[in-house]
Amino acid sequence: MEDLIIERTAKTPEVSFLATEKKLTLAGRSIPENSIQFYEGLLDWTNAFCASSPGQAEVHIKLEYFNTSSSKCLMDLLKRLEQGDCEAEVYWYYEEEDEDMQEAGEDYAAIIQLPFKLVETSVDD
Amino acid sequence: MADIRRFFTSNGKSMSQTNFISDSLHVGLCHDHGCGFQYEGAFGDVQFDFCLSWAEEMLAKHNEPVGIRKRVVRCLVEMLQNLQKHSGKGRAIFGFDEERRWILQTQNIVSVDEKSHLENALKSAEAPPLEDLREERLSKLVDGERTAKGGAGLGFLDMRACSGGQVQAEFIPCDQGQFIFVLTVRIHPQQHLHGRFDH
Repeated sequence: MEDLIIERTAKTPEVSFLATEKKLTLAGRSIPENSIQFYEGLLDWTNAFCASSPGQAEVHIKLEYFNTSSSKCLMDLLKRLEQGDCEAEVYWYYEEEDEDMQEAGEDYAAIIQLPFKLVETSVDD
Repeated sequence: MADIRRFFTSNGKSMSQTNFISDSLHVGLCHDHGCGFQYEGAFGDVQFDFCLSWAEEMLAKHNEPVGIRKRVVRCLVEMLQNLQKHSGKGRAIFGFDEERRWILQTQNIVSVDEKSHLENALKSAEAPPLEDLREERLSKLVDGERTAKGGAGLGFLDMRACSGGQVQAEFIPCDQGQFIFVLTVRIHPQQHLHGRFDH
């Protein structure tokens, strides 16, 4: 299975979904006007990944901020992982003073039945 | 400061649509006191990008903590994208008031039907008390029906949470039975999510 690599833009996050390493990373901003369109490819890839690569996988979400339509798409992505055969572990990163992003991580952790680790990072990281 | 503040409140009188938004690009920057900017005109990707980058620059200049910077930007993104998706032209104003609250305002023309739709959405977002907003957002996140243009009604809820309930909406009558939808959000730098304050 091929990796999915998308460079970050001012509105969309860097996507690094590595099939062999079983490591999925989203980093940057997720504020596209059409989130559904952006996340569609990621959801398709995740479906295929879960079907073809059972076993443990790591998901790293390092978002600076995201818009509300992306929040629904992130939910869809995490749900796919939850319902698929891959035993994903989610790492949710937030900056030390960013209570909003921390709370968002806590909210997803409360909904998604996957191991979920909240990782505080320094502003300088 | 006066240049920008006059847009923050309406006098409730009818406004002329032709005087409100022209199709030409007009950019106004208010340099005194670094109080903010207003943009008026067509609203697409380019306008979204420069409004957002101006706002981020202002927030950085005022050394706001990272949490507040992100919260203000998060709200502004929702408001500007609403303007972009639902109207395509309008007015965006960004600055702070004498209480040092960040003020975000968008204005765009809506039809009677759009007014009714917005009023329902606002009413729904204003219904839960502040302390229940998190639960409400969670519920929408899980079960909310997403529309082609939006995030399942999460936008107004998010603005309420970010501002501690300081979301104000006005519909000012203008030409041809339409209305100017004025949406204002105020964010206090010492306020936490859902309205709790540092003392």
